[in-house]
Amino acid sequence: MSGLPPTEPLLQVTDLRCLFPVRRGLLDVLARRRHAIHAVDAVTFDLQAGEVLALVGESGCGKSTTGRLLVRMLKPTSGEIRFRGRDIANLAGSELKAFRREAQIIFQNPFEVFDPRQTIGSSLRQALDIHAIGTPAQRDQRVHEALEGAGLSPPAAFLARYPHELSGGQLQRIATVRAMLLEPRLLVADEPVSMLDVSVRAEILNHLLDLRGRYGTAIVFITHDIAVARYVATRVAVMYLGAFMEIGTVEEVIDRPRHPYTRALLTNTLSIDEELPSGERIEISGDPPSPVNLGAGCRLAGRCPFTMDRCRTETPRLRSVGSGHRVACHLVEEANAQASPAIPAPPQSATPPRPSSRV
Amino acid sequence: MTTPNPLLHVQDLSVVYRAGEGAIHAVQDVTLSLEPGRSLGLVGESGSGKSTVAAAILRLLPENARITSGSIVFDGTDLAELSDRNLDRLWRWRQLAIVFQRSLSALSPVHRVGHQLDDVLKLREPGLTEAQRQERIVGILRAVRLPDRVLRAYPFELSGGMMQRTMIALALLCTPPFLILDEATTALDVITQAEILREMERLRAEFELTTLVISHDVGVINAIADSVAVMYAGQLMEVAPKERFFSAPAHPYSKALIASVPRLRGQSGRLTGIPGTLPELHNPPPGCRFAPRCPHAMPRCSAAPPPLYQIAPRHTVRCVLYDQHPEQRP
Repeated sequence: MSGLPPTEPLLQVTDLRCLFPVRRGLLDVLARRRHAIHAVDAVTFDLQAGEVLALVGESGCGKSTTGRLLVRMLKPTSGEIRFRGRDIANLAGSELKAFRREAQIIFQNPFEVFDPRQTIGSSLRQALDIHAIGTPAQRDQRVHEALEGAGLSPPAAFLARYPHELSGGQLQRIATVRAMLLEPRLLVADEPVSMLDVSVRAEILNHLLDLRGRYGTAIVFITHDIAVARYVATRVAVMYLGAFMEIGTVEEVIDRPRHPYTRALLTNTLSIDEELPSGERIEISGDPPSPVNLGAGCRLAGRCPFTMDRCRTETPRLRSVGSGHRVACHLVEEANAQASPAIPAPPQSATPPRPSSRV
Repeated sequence: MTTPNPLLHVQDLSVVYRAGEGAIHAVQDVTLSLEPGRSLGLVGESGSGKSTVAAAILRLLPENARITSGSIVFDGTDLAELSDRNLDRLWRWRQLAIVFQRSLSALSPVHRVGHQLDDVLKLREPGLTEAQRQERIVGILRAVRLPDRVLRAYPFELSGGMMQRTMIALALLCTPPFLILDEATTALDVITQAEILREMERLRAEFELTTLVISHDVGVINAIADSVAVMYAGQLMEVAPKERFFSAPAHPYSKALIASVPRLRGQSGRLTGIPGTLPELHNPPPGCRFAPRCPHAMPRCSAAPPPLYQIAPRHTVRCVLYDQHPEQRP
């Protein structure tokens, strides 16, 4: 955005953690045990203005929790989220309201986010009313223009209608219009096209990309569908059990993946593209383990075909394998160290002890 | 048709749902043929009628639905003509079985999986002894690669993938020759989904299954079908061998559908999607139901539903653009 020097990221996320306590049974209480689900664990990344970062992963990987933390629908257990240089954890009152205007979120099911008793017109107006933008007449004008800009014309045909009178695709476009009415700097889009038919998805995705082009809004796009991520994103982060496994540009992560988990996701995703040579497929067996009380070691160690002894005892950290491309995998790290002997591998500091399961 | 001995032949099937004072014309004149050992993928978006076709074949339609015309000939017998009792005793589950998407709701949460499989088998094949039933169940579980401990588990203790394998085992209990998979892998994560579909490919060979795979996801269809049938708003638009369908789709809807799918590899241009929305099915357009959204629509499209034109071996299209091939009409 214009006010930001290009070097300062819009969003700086450092060592973000979110733990959810698990209800204790009588035995746990007697033994003074506490359990916690590690929904988001040590997540660190930057986001520049106008970037589209896709968070991809399977259900339960923590991608939606991360999205909610970014717009402060949830508060982190520890770690820091800096939005335009300011930690959002301590915002309150008018500052929090100003942040809410600048950081918006849209969800998978638009029927759950609109008040069924409110017309579309009044739902849209409300966003502008809350933030007292312009005169009432100007607000109406703005709602009108936004609907028209989204291809929902004539706007009058939509303003007086109720959510249940619209299709899922139309209502999701209106949810996007509502989020963008405030011209936010950050939009978190949590599986926005997952429940829509494929022929309708393209319109929503293109609409999001157009809005990003017009307002320079940065988008965190949460999806389980890697092909959708490839279409909308500039960068991709792959999550597994709360942690980033790999992050980089779309070309790096999707076209030249390094992490075994990313490779497994990509080679197992069904598509209508040419079939992969069968030798390229990475098979990961079983189901993800429970995210409760994760011990030391790589989260994927129990399922990964390349597991080494070290993987079971030492948690791999995200390390750079090229400009901005970072991978959390001992195997990749060792392969990289061997491939470029001229550059000594960074000294192996012992992995700091993981926080125990105390909440 | 060119198929001499299909295992299943659906001819001009129409299904109507009563809704309030109106009627919803969910399926109109659908004709499908499936030879033994083949796998047909039936693809369509929501409201296309694909699941209604499956329910009609098994006669599992809800109370308010009625087959208004057509025949469903399975191995020489018209299932649409059978009494409920006969269908239940001789055909359903023994000859034709189905796996649905929401499988957790199909099992009782308070009984162990083993007991439920045994109960079902008792009901379907009363002649078997307890030892025979046990042998059959253990054999089927091994075939779908489930550990024996599943027998003693409750449904909620199983992961999504294991649950879906259990449902496949349940469908295969009486070793039917014909299996319908109705969005059977839709709710699963990508790695589990790919794993289960690979298992299905193996089971197809092992059990000599003929399968009808219903999905909204062309990726699933590509993974498991030999040929593809496309439905839109209750009408069957195109049937083609899989390779031909994905390389040279003929119907404007098929083309638009494929152009809407984001690609995982190679070049990807801007996705186009399909402008407009599904027509109201209680008052559908009189002709081609895709005409209101079709870029090639002409006046005659709205006059009457176009016939099926055969444009290549095993490739038929319901679109007047292919009227130049009158000599090849089926």
